[in-house]
Amino acid sequence: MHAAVASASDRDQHTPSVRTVWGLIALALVAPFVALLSLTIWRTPFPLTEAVAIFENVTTARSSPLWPDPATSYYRPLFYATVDLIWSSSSSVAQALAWLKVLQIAPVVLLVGMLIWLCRPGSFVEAVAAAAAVVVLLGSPGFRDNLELPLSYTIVGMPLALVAWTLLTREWRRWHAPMVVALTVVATGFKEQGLVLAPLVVVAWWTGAPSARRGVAVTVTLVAAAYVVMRLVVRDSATTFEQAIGYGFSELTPLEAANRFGAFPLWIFVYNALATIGNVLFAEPVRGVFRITQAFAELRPQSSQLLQIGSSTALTLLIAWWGVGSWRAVPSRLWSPDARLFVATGATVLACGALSFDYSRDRLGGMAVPFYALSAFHALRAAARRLCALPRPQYLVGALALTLLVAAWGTRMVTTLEYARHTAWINQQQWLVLLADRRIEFADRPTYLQIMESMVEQGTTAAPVRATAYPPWVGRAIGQPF
Amino acid sequence: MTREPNVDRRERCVAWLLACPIVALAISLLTLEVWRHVYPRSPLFSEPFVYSLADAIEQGDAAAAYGFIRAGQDPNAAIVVQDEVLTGGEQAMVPPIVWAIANARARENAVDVLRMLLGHGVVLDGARAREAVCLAVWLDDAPTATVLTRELRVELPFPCGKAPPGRPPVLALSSSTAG
Repeated sequence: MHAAVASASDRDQHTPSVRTVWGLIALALVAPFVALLSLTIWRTPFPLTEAVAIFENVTTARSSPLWPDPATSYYRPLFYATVDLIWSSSSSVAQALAWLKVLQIAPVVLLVGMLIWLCRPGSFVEAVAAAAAVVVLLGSPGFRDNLELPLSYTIVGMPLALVAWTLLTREWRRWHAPMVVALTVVATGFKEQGLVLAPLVVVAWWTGAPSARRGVAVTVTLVAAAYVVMRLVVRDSATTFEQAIGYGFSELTPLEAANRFGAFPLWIFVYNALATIGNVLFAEPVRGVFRITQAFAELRPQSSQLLQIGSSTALTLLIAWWGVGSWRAVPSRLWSPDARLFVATGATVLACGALSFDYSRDRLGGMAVPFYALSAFHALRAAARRLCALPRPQYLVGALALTLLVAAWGTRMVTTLEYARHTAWINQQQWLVLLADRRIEFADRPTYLQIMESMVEQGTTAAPVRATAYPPWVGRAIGQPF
Repeated sequence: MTREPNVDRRERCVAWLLACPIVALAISLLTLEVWRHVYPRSPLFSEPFVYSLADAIEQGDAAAAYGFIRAGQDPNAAIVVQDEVLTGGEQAMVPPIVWAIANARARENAVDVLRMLLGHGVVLDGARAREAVCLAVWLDDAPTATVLTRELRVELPFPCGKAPPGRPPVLALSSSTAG
């Protein structure tokens, strides 16, 4: 197994220019998907149901000294500050909305660029593995569920986590530590999922990453602890459960969940955490509900479900094989970059689970997805190298299996693209269908109505790219209808 | 004597194999996008074509119906409609909202068209609003009647009476005064 694990020196044999060329080739392989996804988001109308209320909040509440109120369950001060800045400094609604779309698209592009750059491919097989890692990133439910306009909370944090990891694992510079602390604050300020950076920094320090000294680990830990204490102290919520929670094969409303688990919610908190972890690693459960398992039990699994659970499980096993191998190859008291990344990936997955204790959603695993994808690159690369030394039959079977794995994740990436298109259509339908209802429901909120009316144009005239009406067998493979 | 595998060659082969699905998907998606650009009306990329506002309402296609209003068609002006059941096979001139109410039970999305019309320019005064609610009642469509009552702010209760006998309710509407 150790032979499969490439050492750092093995990877360093490639010159920077060679890496640049292969990196560009990897980028070219995935560029069509990234471009189509970005274009889809750009042409997506903002939803009536979420966006208007957020813009109303930043308009009406900014005069409050405590705004955004830390007592609220959805405390995202830097997100609201950014939206406020864009909303108040733009010369028109259209300009503000365009910048808010940039806030959603730029992290996606940065994330893909960072991922390929961190892979640093030095050969053809590494370039393809890097492209496959991007495919895994784009096909992951944790990524897909964070594309909703204008909720850029986590999609902003995801590339920031990769930037922090890059700084921590590079040769020490004086500015690295304050930068990592700043990235943690920014990511957490956008959403509490940014706290994932705290265990990431601690793992980097524990495994001896060059720029992760004790000072930065202690500082980030203190920042995270202070944030958690602040949230717990000022939290002003009478409900135990903020949203519906999945449980087994069904979903419970917050009230049902409180009645069932209110006296001792620890078990359901653990369940929710494990559900998110399971979703990142195995694509099941979804929102805490074991839908695919239920479909199998009832002998009606769909091909998309087979692809999701099969590709996730196979890749997780491959990453485990690579990670355990790289861990075992570590001499005592020394950590290889691969082993360090493996532990960091595990830490981010666990942290995402812990942070989703109240309810499980695909998007709550988002911060772990870039590290899962980065680990996928190393695992695929190691597996490809290992295969080449095997006898011919095993080599052929293994190569075919890896190809099928990449193809399965490719279909999931298409799912992401078509899901984004479907979301665009839903958003436009909201503007067409819900307007009359909203005018009545929000008649006593003039700011809401004013903002809503100013956004009707973007909601109704945008021409979102419609989801492709594939032949039924393709539709079933990518999970249509969504 | 066994031959050692040519590792470099095998690595290239694996790389090509892994690249195949990514390249194939990229080419497929790009081809589809070119196709979408050249043939935007292809069934792959659009709903079935609708010829008129009445047609869009019948199809339950809110976006297509809105397209006619956005292009300048008055959402309150009567449209020509014809249906074996709803108009008894006769051609008739009815307001779009009436046609949307008449079709609401037949198609799941037809209520969406109704809501779209109410949000984008349809104006109904008190008597016409009650007529609209009554039409839904006569067509035994309680969910649509509820939507109309709420969104037209019709005060309850008010008597609709029985559906006029002999003629389809859609045609009888103008000759019947509710309340």
